[in-house]
Amino acid sequence: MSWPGSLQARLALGLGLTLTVLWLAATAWTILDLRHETEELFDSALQETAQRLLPLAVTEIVNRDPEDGAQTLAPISDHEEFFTYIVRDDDGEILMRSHAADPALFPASAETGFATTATHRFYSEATLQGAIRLTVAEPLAERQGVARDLAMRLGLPLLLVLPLTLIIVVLAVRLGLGALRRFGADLTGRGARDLSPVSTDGLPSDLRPLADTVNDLLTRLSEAFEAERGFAANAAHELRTPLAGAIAQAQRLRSETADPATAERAEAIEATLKRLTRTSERLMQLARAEGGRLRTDTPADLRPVLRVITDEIARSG
Amino acid sequence: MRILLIEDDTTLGAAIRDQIAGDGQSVDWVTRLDAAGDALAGAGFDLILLDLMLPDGLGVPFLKNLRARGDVTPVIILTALDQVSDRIKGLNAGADDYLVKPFDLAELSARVGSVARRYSGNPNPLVRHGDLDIDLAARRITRAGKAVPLTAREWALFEAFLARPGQLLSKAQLEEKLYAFDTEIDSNTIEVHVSRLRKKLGRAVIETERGMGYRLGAR
Repeated sequence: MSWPGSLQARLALGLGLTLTVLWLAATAWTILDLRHETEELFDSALQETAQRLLPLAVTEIVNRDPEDGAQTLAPISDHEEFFTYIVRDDDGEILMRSHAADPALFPASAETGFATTATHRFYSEATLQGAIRLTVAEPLAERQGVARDLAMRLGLPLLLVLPLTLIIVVLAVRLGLGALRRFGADLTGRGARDLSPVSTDGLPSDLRPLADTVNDLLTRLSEAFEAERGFAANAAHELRTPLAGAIAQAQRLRSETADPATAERAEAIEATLKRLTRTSERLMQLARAEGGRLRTDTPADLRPVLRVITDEIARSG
Repeated sequence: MRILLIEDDTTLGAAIRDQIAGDGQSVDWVTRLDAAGDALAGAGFDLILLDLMLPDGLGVPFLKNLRARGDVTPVIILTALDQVSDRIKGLNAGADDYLVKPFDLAELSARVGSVARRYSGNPNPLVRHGDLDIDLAARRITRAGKAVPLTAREWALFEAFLARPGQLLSKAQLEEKLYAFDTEIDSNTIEVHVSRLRKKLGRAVIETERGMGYRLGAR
């Protein structure tokens, strides 16, 4: 996957991914930990049951007539048995069992301690040097149910919270970077000739150096343009004023003299000076054009301009 | 008309002064803004010709200052600055017209006349007064269909009366209108010109208020 180009998308993606992974990891860890805790609780209950049952079973077996054989205890009232148990001697013979106990489910050996099959968890306890062994079975379905419940209760809110978090991340990033976006839009929206400083109102401090640098550059640029303009204006003044003086004097001479030859000469001087004026005008126009003053933001049709120029050249022929 | 010319280039200034004086106006020519301020404080002018770049300052602030003081003297800017923004600045500062150097002296004369007519309240250069047909632009008067030649001074005096019909003008006022600061004038110069005008244009053309001054006669 290539990293997106926009700062906003990068931030949103980075934050979103990190948050999602962290949330999921935290939830998974909590689920595993709670499961472990419940296993321990269940095991402890199983063990407790076995240890309470064993003395009762021993008393029952020792006191009864040995001829009666294996005994299934009838239920006191009809109920679903959660824990089932069997009592065996050290040869594996069943001495006693609870009414719902299915001997086939129980493991063959009754070593003291916990054992697990695919469907049940067992705890065995022995007494009288192993002559009487009690095994209590607990169906695993119950534990699995609790684990599922746990996973659901922790996972479901996550399904809601996670998308909400991601939406909030996106919104927060958008809001946070709004100033940057507006700053960018402000810059791109400016005309090519607009050299006014960028507004720094409400700009976050991180963008301040950027805006200040841009403004600094704009100021220097406009100063450079101003200097160029100033030069053109100065040159215009320096050139035009003496030309104006000379032309005016020639005109005075022409109007004051009574001698037609002198008048003619004055006229010739005036015409030359005017030509010189036009040439200097063109040079100044060129200087201005090169100073970037004639640049506009909108494209313009230059054909009329070319027509005027060719016209002018044709006439001055 | 009394005109103040503010122009620091001596060649151009001299030519303008000669041109305007040749039109029969009196011209005071200064080359600095401080001198212009002094001149304005010392006499009433009918028009100011203002250059924009002077050795002791710029013309636009000077003009703004003038207008801020309530001075409504017409101002024509004469300048080498030809950018549209410069013209706008000049006109917005309170100028009446704007001429870019180099200009034709004849055009300057025409613009001076045009601005002056606008200020007198009638931009039409053709004026009828009694049996006189006056073309202010061409400086021509015909009396009952016959052309009457006037000298530049006589024109300037007659124009001063025409611009202020019905208004009493003292001898001092007329002298101020007609002569620049450094001109030598005889004590009876105005009387002499008035009597010549009456001779050429008819007795009733100028009325005398004894001991007070003169005014343009009723038509």
